[in-house]
Amino acid sequence: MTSAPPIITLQGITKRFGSLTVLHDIDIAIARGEFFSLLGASGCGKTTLLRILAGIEQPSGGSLLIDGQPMAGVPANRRPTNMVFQSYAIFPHLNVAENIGYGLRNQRLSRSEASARVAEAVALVKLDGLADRNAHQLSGGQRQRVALARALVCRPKVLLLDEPLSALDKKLREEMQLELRALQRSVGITFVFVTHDQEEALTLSDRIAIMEAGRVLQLDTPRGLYERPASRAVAEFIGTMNLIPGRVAAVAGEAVRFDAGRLGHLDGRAGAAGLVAGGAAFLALRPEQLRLERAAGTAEAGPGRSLSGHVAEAAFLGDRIHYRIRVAGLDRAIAVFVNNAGGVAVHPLGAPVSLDWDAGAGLVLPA
Amino acid sequence: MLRRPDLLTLYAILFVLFLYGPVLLMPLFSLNDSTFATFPLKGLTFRHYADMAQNAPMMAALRNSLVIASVVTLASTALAIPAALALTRFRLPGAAPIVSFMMLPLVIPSIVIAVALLVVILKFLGLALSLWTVAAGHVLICLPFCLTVLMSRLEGFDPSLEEASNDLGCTPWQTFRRLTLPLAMPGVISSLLLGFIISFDEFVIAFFLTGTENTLPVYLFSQLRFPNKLPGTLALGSLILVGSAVLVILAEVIRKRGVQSDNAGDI
Repeated sequence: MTSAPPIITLQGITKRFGSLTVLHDIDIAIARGEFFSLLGASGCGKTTLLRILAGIEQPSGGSLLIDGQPMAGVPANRRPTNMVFQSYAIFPHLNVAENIGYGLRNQRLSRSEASARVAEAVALVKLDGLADRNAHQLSGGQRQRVALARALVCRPKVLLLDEPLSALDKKLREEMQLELRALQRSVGITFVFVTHDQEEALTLSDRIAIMEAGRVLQLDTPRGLYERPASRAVAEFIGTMNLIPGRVAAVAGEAVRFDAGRLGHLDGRAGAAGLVAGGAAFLALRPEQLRLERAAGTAEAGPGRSLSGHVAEAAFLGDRIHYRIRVAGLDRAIAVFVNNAGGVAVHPLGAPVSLDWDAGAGLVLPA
Repeated sequence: MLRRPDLLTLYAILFVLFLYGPVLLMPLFSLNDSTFATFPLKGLTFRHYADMAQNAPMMAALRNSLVIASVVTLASTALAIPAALALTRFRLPGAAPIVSFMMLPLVIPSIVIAVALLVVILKFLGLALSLWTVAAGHVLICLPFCLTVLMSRLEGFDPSLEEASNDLGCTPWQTFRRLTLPLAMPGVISSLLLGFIISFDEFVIAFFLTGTENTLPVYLFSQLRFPNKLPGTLALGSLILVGSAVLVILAEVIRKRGVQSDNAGDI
């Protein structure tokens, strides 16, 4: 992040519906020009937070600044934000050009300037030739583009997107993800994007806030979240993660000695602050960071960074091979992803294997 | 196997005859060259139509009814739009009892309403009976119909449409004018037509609440004692029949268009 003042500052934002609190004390600062995602399962409060930014919902407490201006008491129609709705909310009585130009009528532009802006927006989202189409003649992808153009044409300081890709099929969704990212770079507007799809969030975002039950669990870059998850929930939410239960045996700065019970002591590094000797914890291992060797008991990395077991499942996926390794003393099989760089032998089911990993690959997280 | 459809066809024909036969006799006799509405037919004439146009009291009653129906339907629809919006857009406390309360005039016999209004107007308000008191009574009975038509139209909306309009810079009033009203327009037109027809055709309340001037139904009732006036009545009735048919077809065309644009709203 740069030293420029953030475009959006949320401080202590709380939202209650009756006796139900859906947002607890949210603090987020979003940088100018950033592609920022709110990621979480349905009901985590991400859409409510987006609607508070838009001014459709009012927070029960806390303050919201957009471009340095306090937004308390500013209605949705006077905020420098525009939204792409999950249902797209295309106005059914208007054609494509009238839909896109809807917001411009409120901006006191000359007729020629307004139609130039509409034409520009139509070209930007690649809807050329469809300006006279009625809303009901459009496909899902086209509706999505109309919704996007209708919001962007107003030149908001912040564009809010509420799961805009969830209604599209997989192929179109992946195509639109790339287009959306390219569009954001070209217009340079700050995007705040709500999604429940972790892969989508990783693909698109500069930074992601992972939300659960109305709280932000962790806010970081996609890489930071993947490599340094600070809690079990984040570790499990982003990608695949093996979690070995146990206790903290000893802490020495970053290095943690982890007591995995029957599996003995393993080495790891601290994934979160506040780990104390004796506390319940998990050792988290990414499947692609594990190495698999034939024959038991001959792992290279040494006793603190290896386990042995046998192959319970093997799936050949072309570019990689997914294994499930059953380790005596663990309830859940360990997932191991091996890259198929060519000529990699597939271990047969039931074969005894050993796993090991590099120093620093094991992350100790509080339970 | 063969007899059953035959019986059903016969039943259908009788049903349609029973429904429309009496109504269709009216234009037939209005063109018959005789004062009496009986068979056999004597010959084709348009003189009843000419008589009708010459009949000043009848024309005055027709004009009164047209004016009242127009005023009443505009007023009831204008009153019903905000009510329908409030009841479909917001979670009002006590919305269900409010709706039932507004629908009550549908089930109260109009004779009861007429007597009650007569008492209120004469004893409590001290107003003179006139066409205005008739119109006021008609607004009361048209309102539930207008409200029902408008509510069913407004209930189908995606709520994010209005949020989107608001988000794009429209004030609530601009959103109403540019989005809600155009989308509700088929409902508004149905409401206007329905209100017009109900008021135009209403007898009991008009009979009780009118002053010295007559509405058409009241006038026609008063003329039934004079057989020689009947052909003119038949002529007028035939013209009204044609007029209503045109209105109903118009309403149906508009409704169909509305249904088309509705499908566009589905996502």
